[in-house]
Amino acid sequence: MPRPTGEILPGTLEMLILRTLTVDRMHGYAIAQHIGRTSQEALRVEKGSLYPALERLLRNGWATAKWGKTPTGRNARYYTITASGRRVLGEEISAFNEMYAAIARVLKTS
Amino acid sequence: MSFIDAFSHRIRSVFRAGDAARERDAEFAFHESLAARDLTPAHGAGARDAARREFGNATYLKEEVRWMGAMRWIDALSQDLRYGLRTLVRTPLFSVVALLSIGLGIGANTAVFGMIYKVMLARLPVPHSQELVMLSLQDVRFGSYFSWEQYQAISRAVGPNVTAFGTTSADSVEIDGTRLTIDAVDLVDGGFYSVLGIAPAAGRLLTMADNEQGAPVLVTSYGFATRHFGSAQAALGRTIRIGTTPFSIVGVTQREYEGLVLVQPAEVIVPQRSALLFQPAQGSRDVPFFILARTRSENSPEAAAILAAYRQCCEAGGLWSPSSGDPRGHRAVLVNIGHGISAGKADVRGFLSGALFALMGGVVVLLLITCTNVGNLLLARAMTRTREFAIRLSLGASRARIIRQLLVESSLLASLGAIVGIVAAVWGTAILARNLPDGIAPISRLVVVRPDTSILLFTVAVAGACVLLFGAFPAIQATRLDLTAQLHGTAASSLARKRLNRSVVALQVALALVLASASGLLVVTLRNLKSGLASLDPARLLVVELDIRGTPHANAHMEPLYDQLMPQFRRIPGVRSVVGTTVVPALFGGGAASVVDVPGFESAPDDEMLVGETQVMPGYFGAMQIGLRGRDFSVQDARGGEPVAIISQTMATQLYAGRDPIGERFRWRRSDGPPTSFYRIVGVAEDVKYFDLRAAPPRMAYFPWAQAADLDQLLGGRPLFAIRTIIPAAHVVSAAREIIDAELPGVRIRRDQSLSAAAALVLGREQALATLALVFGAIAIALAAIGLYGVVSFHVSTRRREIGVRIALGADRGRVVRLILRQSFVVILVGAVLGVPLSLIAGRALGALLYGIAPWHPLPVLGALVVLLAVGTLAAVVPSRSAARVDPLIAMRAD
Repeated sequence: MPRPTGEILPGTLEMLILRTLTVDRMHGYAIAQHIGRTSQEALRVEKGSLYPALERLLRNGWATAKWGKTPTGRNARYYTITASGRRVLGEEISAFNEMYAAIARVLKTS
Repeated sequence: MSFIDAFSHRIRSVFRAGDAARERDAEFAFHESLAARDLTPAHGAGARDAARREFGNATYLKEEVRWMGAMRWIDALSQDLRYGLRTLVRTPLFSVVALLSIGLGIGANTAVFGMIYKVMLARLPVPHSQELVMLSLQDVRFGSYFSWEQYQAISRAVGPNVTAFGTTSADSVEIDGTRLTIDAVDLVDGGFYSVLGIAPAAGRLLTMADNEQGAPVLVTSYGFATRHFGSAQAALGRTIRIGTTPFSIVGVTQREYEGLVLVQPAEVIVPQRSALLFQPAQGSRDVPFFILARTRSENSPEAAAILAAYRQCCEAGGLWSPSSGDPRGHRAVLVNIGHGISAGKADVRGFLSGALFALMGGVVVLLLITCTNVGNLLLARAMTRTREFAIRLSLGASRARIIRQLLVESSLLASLGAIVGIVAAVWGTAILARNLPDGIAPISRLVVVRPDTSILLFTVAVAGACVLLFGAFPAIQATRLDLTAQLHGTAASSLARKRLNRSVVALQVALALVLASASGLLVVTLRNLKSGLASLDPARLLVVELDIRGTPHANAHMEPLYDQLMPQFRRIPGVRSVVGTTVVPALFGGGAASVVDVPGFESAPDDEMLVGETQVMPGYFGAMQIGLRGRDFSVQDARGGEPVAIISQTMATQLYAGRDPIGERFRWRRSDGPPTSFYRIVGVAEDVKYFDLRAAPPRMAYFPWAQAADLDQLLGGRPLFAIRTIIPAAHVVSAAREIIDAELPGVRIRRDQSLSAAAALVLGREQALATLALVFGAIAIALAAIGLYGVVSFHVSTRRREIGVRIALGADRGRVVRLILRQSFVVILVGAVLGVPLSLIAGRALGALLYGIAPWHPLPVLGALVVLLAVGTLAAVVPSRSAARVDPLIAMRAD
C-alpha cells in the first residue's frame, strides 16, 4: 500500500537521513532529493521536518555541519555523519528490521 | 566523540545565537533556491512562490529550529532581555515613573527590614553566639542585675565559664585635657574576652592579670579609636583620663563588635577592679552586673552548674543583702543572648518592635499599591501590543513564550527597581541617621542599612514578589486573545479586562483606606499623648540641667549654687519665674518611689503603697501651672519647721477616699529602719504625668526644698531648674547659657531646651510613626486617585461612541458626567466595603501603640473615607468632563 502523501513513519526520518549521510557528506536539499530518489519518489521529505531533524542530529552529536562550496560555487551547509551516528544507525536499522519483520508476520497471519 | 560534538554544538548555539540565526536564514534560502530551480519547468514564473508554499511557514520553521537549539532558554532569555531593555528605553517616561515608584517601595521595605533585622534577628559578631546565655531573674521589675559580690559567689562555684560586665558612669572622661561627652565606662571581669572568644583589631584585650592588679589599662571600641585617634593602631599606648586617673589604651576591639547591649555601644572598657582608681569610695559596689556564660544547650551540665550555684548562694544568704536588690524568691533562668542584650537603660527591642512591625506593615501595603499601579500600567501597555502578540501567536510562537517575554520585561523592571531600592535605602538611612534628633540619636546605629547577605536576600525576595504581583496578571491577560478578531482589527476591548482593571483600583482604594485610617489612629494617639502636657504650656517652660561633677565646681554645695544662679536667671528679659526642682514632668521620673503609711487607710493586699517622693521650691506649682488646692510651700517651711507635704490628686483620691486630705498626716515606711516622722498635708495638686505619658498619673508627694535632709545627695551633682517664660522658651536659651558660662565656667550643660522640645524627643517614636503614617497614607491616596483617574479615562475613551449617541439623542451633558461619576463611585464603594474591615484589623494590630483611642474607633476610618471620596471624585471629574465635551458628530464618525 503505497502512501499517496509520501509521509514518512514517525521516528524514522533521522534513520533515513543518517543512512543517506553514510553515502557522502551532503547539504539539506541533497539529503531530501536523495531520499526521494532512492525511494523512487515514494517518500517525500518535507522541509519542515527535515531541518528540525537535522538540528536534532547535531544536538545529539550524530552529525556535524560545516559550510562549504557546492560544485557550482555556491555556499551550502554540508552535514557529515559522526562515528556515534554510525553506531546509532546500526542499532536503529536492526531495531527497525525486527519491528518490520514482526509487523509483517502479524499482517500475514491475520 | 559524540558528546564533544554535541557539546560544541550547544556552546556554539548559545554564544553565537545571532550567527546561528543568520546561518539558518542562509541555509533556508539556499534550499528554496534549489527547489525553485527544480520546479521551474513545471511551474514557470510562479516557481519561487510554489517553492515557498512547499517549504511552508518559514517563520514557524525558524521558531521551531531555534526552539530546539541547545540551552535554548539562555539564548531566548538573552533575546528577551535585549527586547525588554529596548521596550523600556522606548517609553522613557513610563520606565522612569515605574522604576522610581518600585525602587522607593522596595527601598522603604529594605530599610525597615534592615532595622527589624538589627533589632531582632542579627547575631552578635561573637564566635558561636548561640551558646551565649545570661543569668536572668523572672518577674523582676528592674532587670536582671547582680552585684559584683553575687557574681563572685557564683563564679567561685562554677569556674571560668562564667563572666560578668557592667556599666558605670564616671565623673569625667578626658583625652589630652578635652572632656568627652560620654561618661559611660564598661567594667568587665578578667575572663570576659576569653569567654566571648573574640580577637582584638589592635593590641590585646583585657586579661585575668589586668583585673587582679586593678591596672590602669583599658580597651576601646574600634569606632571610638578611629574617631579620636584616627585608627586602631594609633590609639595603642595613648592615654585616657577617667576621673583623675590616666589609663593607657592596650587594645582595640574589632570593628563589628560593639558590645553586647543593643544600642549602647561599649566604647571604653576597663577591668572591674580598676574602677577603684576613678571611684575610690565605692569602686564597682553599686554597679549592676550582667552575668554571662557559655552553654552548649539549655540542659547541659554547664547550665545546670550555674543554676545550682545560684540556688546555693540564695540558700546561704548573707551576701544577698536587701540594699543590693534581693534576688531570693525569684526563679533564675538562663536566657540566650545570641541576638544581643535588650535591657540596660532602655529595652530597645520592646520599645521598637511594635513600632517597627507597624512600619513594616505600612511599607508592605504601600509596595502593594505601587505594584498594582505599575501592574495596571504594564497591562495598559501590554494591551496596546495585543496586535503584535496576535501576529506572533498566529506565526507559531507559543503563548508560554510570549508570557515569558512579558515576565522577563517585568523582572527587568523589578531588578532595576531593586537596585534603585537598595541604593535609596543605604543613602536614605545614612542621611536619616545623621539627622536624628538628640533624644533618639542612639538608635542611629540601628537605622543605617548596610547591604549584607540577609538584607540583599530580602530585597531579592521582595523584587521577586513584585514581579509576580505586577507582571503575572498583565502577561496572562494580554495573551488571552481572539486571534482572528485581533488581526482584523475588530476586537472590542474585553470585558474581563475592564473588570480586572476596576477591581485592581478597588483594591488600591481599600489599601489606601487602611493606611489612611491607621495614620488617623496614630495622629490621634500623638495628640492625646501631647495633650497630657498641654496644660503646662510646655513651649514656654525652659528646663536647664547642669552637671558639676568632674569640674572645678565639683564640691560646690547646692543651696549657694541655686542662690547664685536663680536671681540672674530671673533678670533675663522674658522670664517670669525660676524654681529649683528634682522632677520635671515627662522628663525626670517621679523621684524615688517609697512605701507610704497613711493612718486610717487599709491598703489592698496587692497594693504596694508606692508613692513618688520629690522635693520642690516654693512657687513650683505656679511656675509649672499645676493647679493647687490648699496652700503652696512658703519660706516658713524651712528646716526645723513642721514637716509638710503637698500630695497629688491621684494620691488623695486613692488613699484618702471620701476624706479631705488637707490637714491629715502620713509617713514613709523604711525597709531598713523605723518609719519616718509624720508629714502634714497642706495642699492637693492637680495630676501631672511625670514619667510614662501612657500610664495613669502617678501618686506623688511633694516636699519643701528647704526641708530636704541632704540636697547635695538628692541632686547628685546635677542641679535642675525650671524657668517659666512669657516668650517662647527657645528665645531665652542663649541668655541662660551666657549666665552659666560666666558664673560657673567649665560646668557642663546637660540640657537646656523647652519642655515641648524635650517632650518631642520623649515622644520621638510616636512622632516618627505618626508622621510616616501620614506620609504613607497621603501617598496611598494619591496612588489610588491616579489609578481611578486611569480607569475612568480609559472607560470614557472606550465609550466615546455610546456617549456621542446619547448626546445626539438629547442627553444633557450633566447627565453624562453623572453617568461616568457613578462608575467611579462604585469602584470607591467596593474598595470601602473591602477596606473597612481591613482597617479594623490593622487598627487592632496597632493595639499597644495606640493611646486614648480605641482601635475600632469609627472616626479615623470615616475621616479616611471622606478624604478618599473627595480625592476620588476629583480624580473622576476630570475625565468625566471630557466625556461631556464629546462632539457627537466626531464620535460617531470615528468608527
